[in-house]
Parts: sequence; structure tokens; C-alpha cells
Amino acid sequence: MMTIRNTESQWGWPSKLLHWLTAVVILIQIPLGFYAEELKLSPLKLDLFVWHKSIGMVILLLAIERLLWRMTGTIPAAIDSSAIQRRLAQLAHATLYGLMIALPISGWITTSAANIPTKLFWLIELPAITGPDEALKSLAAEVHEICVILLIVILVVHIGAALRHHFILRDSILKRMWF
Amino acid sequence: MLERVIDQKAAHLKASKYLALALGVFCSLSTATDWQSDASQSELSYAVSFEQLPLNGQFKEFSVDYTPRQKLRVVVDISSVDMGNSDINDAIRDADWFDIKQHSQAVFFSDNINAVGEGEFMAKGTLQLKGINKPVSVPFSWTPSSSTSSISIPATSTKEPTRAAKMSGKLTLSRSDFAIGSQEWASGDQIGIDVSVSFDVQMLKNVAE
Repeated sequence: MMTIRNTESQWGWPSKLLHWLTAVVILIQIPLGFYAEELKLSPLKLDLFVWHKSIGMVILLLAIERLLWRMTGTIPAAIDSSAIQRRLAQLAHATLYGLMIALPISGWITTSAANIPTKLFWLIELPAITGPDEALKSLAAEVHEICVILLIVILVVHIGAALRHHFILRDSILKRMWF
Repeated sequence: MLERVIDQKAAHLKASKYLALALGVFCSLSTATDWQSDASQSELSYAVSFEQLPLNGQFKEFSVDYTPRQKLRVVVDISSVDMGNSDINDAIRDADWFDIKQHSQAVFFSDNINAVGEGEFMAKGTLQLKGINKPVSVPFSWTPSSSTSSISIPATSTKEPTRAAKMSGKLTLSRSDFAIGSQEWASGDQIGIDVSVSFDVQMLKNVAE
């Protein structure tokens, strides 16, 4: 049975939907960002960055929505595991949320400080959150890069752990996030 | 020996002749236009659409020489262009854009200036940009100010000469007319074709007389 709110034993459908939506957009966003960054300046590069910034803002909104949803409700209890495993899982999830906020924000600062105007999906103007500032641009771009590398590492752990639970430990952790 | 003296004399004569010629040219130039821009209080900027939003740029170095209703000459140092982003500033200096190595200057010249309204004028002339000449009409307003803050006028002065004026205007240029943003950028999908150019120039009267 699909519930709206999360319960002690299962995730509600909004949490599942938002989780998998986030997964899809992040898996598009990371290679898109690296590819666009590597390109030499061209019309394609500019267009890909419009996509990258648009998707980034979607990720930010998804992360905020999911955090609010968690904080105003509950989440399923951890399955049988050691206290240290639970702590590590908590830390990994907190880091994932932190990165899903830090990455879009650092990207937003980069584009604002670089004095590049942005219209998300060629529809919605993204206001600049800082004035033009070369030093800030370099700093924010550096933070963005460190964050994405950290995100890749945590995602490998996150996906690896989910697969381990499902295929080796054969518990319900992946199943309960599935529909 | 004698030959050498004659040679020297001839060379001297020749030199003074050139000097006189140079002086003459200088004088005719200085009287040819009697108003000049004050670089520190002048602005020449433009806006172009960048992925559907305006992005501004400016030329930091340019000069305007103007003789009311007779001649207008604007020289722009293209290499002083600034769009507020180091990557863009590098890119627009390339051959596809301004091609600064080949064409570091743009010149607008008009000797066909007509009043089109109260304090409003139209200068029809030629703009040379990236080595391409095109006829361009520049509308501008001319607003004399009775005095300037930078020049103090003695209290004993019986009449206050007009020494400063504001020259402002706005026009739209097509970057494709001047092959700016050629090749893959020619479509205008990412960077617009129409460029809105604005100028707000502080003009000072040449007070050499």
C-alpha cells in the first residue's frame, strides 16, 4: 500500500518519487557539468551551461523539499545493523543533503560573480546573488569542484551500500525505497 | 667642404619646412574641431543578449572630437573592451569576434550633421569597425552646461562661457554587419545579433584661443 507520509516501516510515495527524481537528475548533472567545463567556448558550451544551471536549481529545490518533508514527518527506522553503521549511514545522508545544497549554491555564486546572466530553461531569470568579483568566482568554482568530487565519493558509497544490502545482505533496504 | 655646408643648409631648410608644415597641420587640426571628450567623465557602453538576457560591455578608451553641426569624429580603442568577465574578455579579442590583433581601432566619422529637434541631432557618417566600413547614423542630444565643476570661473568674469556639454545617444548596430561573432556564432541564438550602443560623453570646449 502506498502512503503519502513516511511511516516507521516504509517510505511514502512522495519521498520515493523525489528520491528517484533526484537520482536521475544528479546522474545527468555530474557528467554534464564536467563535459561542459571541458569544452572550449562555443554556442554548445553556453547552451549546456544553461541546462547545467537549470538542472542545478531543480536539484536545490528537490533537496529543500525533501528536507522539509523529512523534518515535518518521520522516516522509516533503520534496519538491524550496528550502531556504528547507523552513525555512518546518518553521516552519509547528512553529507548528501549538504552537498545537494552546497553544489547549486556554489554554482550560483560562481555564475553571479562571473557576471554571467542566467535564464533557467530559457524561461526564468535567475537573479545574481553577488556582484561581479573575479576572486569570489575562483573561490566558489573551487568549492564547487571539491564538492562534486566529494559527492561522487559519497554516491559510490551510497549506491554500493544499497546494492550490498539488497544483493548480499538481502534485507529490505532497497525494496522499501522501490515502488 | 662647401658642398657639405650647402647640404646642411638645405637639410636645415627642409627640416624647417616640414616643421612649418607640421605646425600648419597641427593648427588646422586643433581648429578643425573645437569640442573634445573628457575621458574621465565619459562612457561608451553596449548591451547584447546572452542566452536571452542582456549582458553589458564598455569601451574604456575612446575619444570624441566635435565641431557643432560640421564634423564628428569618434575613435574607439577596441582593445579597451570590458564585459566584466575574464573568460569573455579573452574570447571577444579573438579573430571570430573583435580580432584585436588586426583591428585595434574603430572610427566613426561624419560631416553630415543635422538638427532633428531641440538639442537633438543626427550625424550621418561611416563606421569603420573590424576593418569594415558601413554607413551609420548616430542620433545624439547635445546639452550645454553653463559651467563645469572642474573649471572655476572667476567671479569678475562678465560672461560665463559655455565650456562643457553632455553628448548622449543610443543606437542599435548589427554585429553581423561587421563580422563580429562570425562562424559558429553567426546564428545569434546564444549571443544576439543586435547590439544596443549607448554613449554619455562629457564634452569640453577647446580653450586654446
